[in-house]
Amino acid sequence: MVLSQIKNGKVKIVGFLGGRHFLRKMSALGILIGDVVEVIANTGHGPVIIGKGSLRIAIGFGMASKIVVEEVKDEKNSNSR
Amino acid sequence: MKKIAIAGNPNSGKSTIFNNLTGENQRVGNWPGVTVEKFEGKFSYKDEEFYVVDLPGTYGLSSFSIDERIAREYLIKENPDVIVLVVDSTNIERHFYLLTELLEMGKNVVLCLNMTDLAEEKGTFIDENILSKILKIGVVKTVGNKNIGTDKLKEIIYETSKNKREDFLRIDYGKEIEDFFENLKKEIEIPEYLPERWTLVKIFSKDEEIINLLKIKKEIIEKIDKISNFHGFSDAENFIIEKKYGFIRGILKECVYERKKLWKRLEISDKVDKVITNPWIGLPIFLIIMLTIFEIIFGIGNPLQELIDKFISFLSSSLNFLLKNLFPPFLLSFLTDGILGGIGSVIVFIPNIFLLFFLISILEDSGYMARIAFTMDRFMHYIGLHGKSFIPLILAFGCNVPAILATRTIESKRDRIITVMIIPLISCSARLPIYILFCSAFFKNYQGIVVFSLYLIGIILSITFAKILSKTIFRKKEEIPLIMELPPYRKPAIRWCLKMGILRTKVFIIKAGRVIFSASLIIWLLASLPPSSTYGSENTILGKIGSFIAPIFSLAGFGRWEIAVSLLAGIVAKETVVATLGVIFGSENLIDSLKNIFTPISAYSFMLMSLIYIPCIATMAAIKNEIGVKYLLITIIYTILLGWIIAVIFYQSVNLFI
Repeated sequence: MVLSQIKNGKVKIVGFLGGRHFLRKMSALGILIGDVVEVIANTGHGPVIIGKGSLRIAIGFGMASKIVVEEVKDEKNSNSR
Repeated sequence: MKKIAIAGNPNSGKSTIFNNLTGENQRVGNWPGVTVEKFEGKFSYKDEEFYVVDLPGTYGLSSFSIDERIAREYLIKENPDVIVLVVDSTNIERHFYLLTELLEMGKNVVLCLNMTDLAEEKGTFIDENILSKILKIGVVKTVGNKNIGTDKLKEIIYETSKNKREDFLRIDYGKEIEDFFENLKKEIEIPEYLPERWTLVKIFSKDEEIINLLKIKKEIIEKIDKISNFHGFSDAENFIIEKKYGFIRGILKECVYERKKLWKRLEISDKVDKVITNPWIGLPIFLIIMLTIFEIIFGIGNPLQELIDKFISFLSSSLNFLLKNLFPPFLLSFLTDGILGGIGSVIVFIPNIFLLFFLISILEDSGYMARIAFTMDRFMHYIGLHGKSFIPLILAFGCNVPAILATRTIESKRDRIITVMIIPLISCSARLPIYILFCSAFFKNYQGIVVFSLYLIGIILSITFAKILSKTIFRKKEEIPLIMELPPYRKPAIRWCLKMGILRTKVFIIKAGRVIFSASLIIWLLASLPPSSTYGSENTILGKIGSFIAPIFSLAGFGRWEIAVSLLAGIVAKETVVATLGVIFGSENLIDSLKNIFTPISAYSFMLMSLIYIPCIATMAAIKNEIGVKYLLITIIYTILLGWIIAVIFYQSVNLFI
């Protein structure tokens, strides 16, 4: 699954398919592989907004489809907040 | 005097901390060679005076972006006595990344835990004493926008400035990397001024600047790739980043306590974002906000502008009246039309520009600015630009000058240059008097449609050119991913916004004022020399230049010296075209004279030329300020050529069919 397909809820980031700049930008913003993030807003064709802790990051739709994620069973494992 | 640098991520509240420290004692300039604003200030504490520089907001110290390069160059070359790192306490993990870089550099750091009130409201508590002990640096809690903790911060800066830091942070990057560092130290020589540990880490991260500077060999790079690939990282830098975050998380476990509390502000912010990202709601909201800004800038600004205009002409006519008998006419005209007119053409911009900068600061401070990029992103991508370029383009309808200044909010240099270069094609309000004059002479019954068509042509041309420029000279090497941090919405701090508005306006007036003033003087001189001739007549230098270039315009249907002169005079300000025509033909029978010279077709072709050719002096000054002389020259040349070509094509093809 990729991030752009997720409408809401929590997901775990498994990998990035983008180039060097993309990777760097994500890690500069504090989003790393293995992090659990929450999808705050995703209208399906605009940007995707994700949240990690109190951090909110908007990702262009093209980029959001390059982030590979897997679903997270709620409660446990959610170190996002 | 001790040197202090303030570092921090964007949105960490570092400018408020800077303001709290320096109070009124500050000025804005530019970092050498780039148009990134540089804020400097001073304060004194006990027996010591401190000079403070606010570094650009950065996430790290790599060589990827201008901002980061500026920050790190300053830190390395100027080696400030103390670096105050401002972090957002609600988001401490991410903000600590920069801390690891500074400590690896061995810098004398004071850690400023800002926005602690918000963090505590959300349930995050930080023990600054433990943190201070682990990291061996001074730590202060502050609430910047309420000016809490400033005295404590000054105290700790004072103490820290007394003794230099001896050791530097050693994050354990694992045996392989550490061995690699040891071997590397034997192979290469790291210059004295570069902090050793930091440089080694940068080499491993394949930092382009450092690698080029130290002429790192290919074999070493290959070795780096081998190590990081072995650990499953396609990119060595990410290996380092991962390790750093590991270190940060370790520290935070020791000193951060989370307690569940209501995240009210964030919840509201999230709800708003859910709505705003929906294009059907977000777009109209955005347009309404843009319209409001437009209304405020030009609704309040233009009447003020007229007032200033009236005041200047009142001054000029009273001077004329008072000094009529004392001064020869030429000198008098020099004083009133030349000097006073020149000053007038500068200060006339103050209201609009101040309002623009003030409103932009409000958009930035409230958190909405970050969202705009997304709302318009799809459309702007189509013409090869970023969502942020939309604001300047809208403002350009009022006046090109504030529009060009508004491009400062665009981070990408390429996008900024393209946006600035297409702005002159958008019809500003100063071009309207020309349209009105010619419409009332030739298109009495179709005024609305004719004026609208000109605006539309301006828009179409600017979109076309944006597309052409972004496909040709400014081809993107790699698509810059649109990823942005969204700060939660908040009530903007009006006082800070006012201050920013005043500071930025001051800088513009001082910098652009010189250009505008001297250029106005030159045009005035050309239009009044030799002294015996009447202003702007055929005998003046301007008139002669006009007669000389007039034939060029005959293909477009208006090859007369009077018209050429009015176009030349229009360089001062576009509305001067009308005034000059009035001087040459006499204001009373201007319309009749125009009817003798122009046909409706050549009149429209003249309006096309007026729409497109060189922006006015003030616009040129702004372009030079923002993107440099080279692009200013390109813009001047291409707008003249384009204006002429379109006028000629229009005139010739319509004549062919009729």
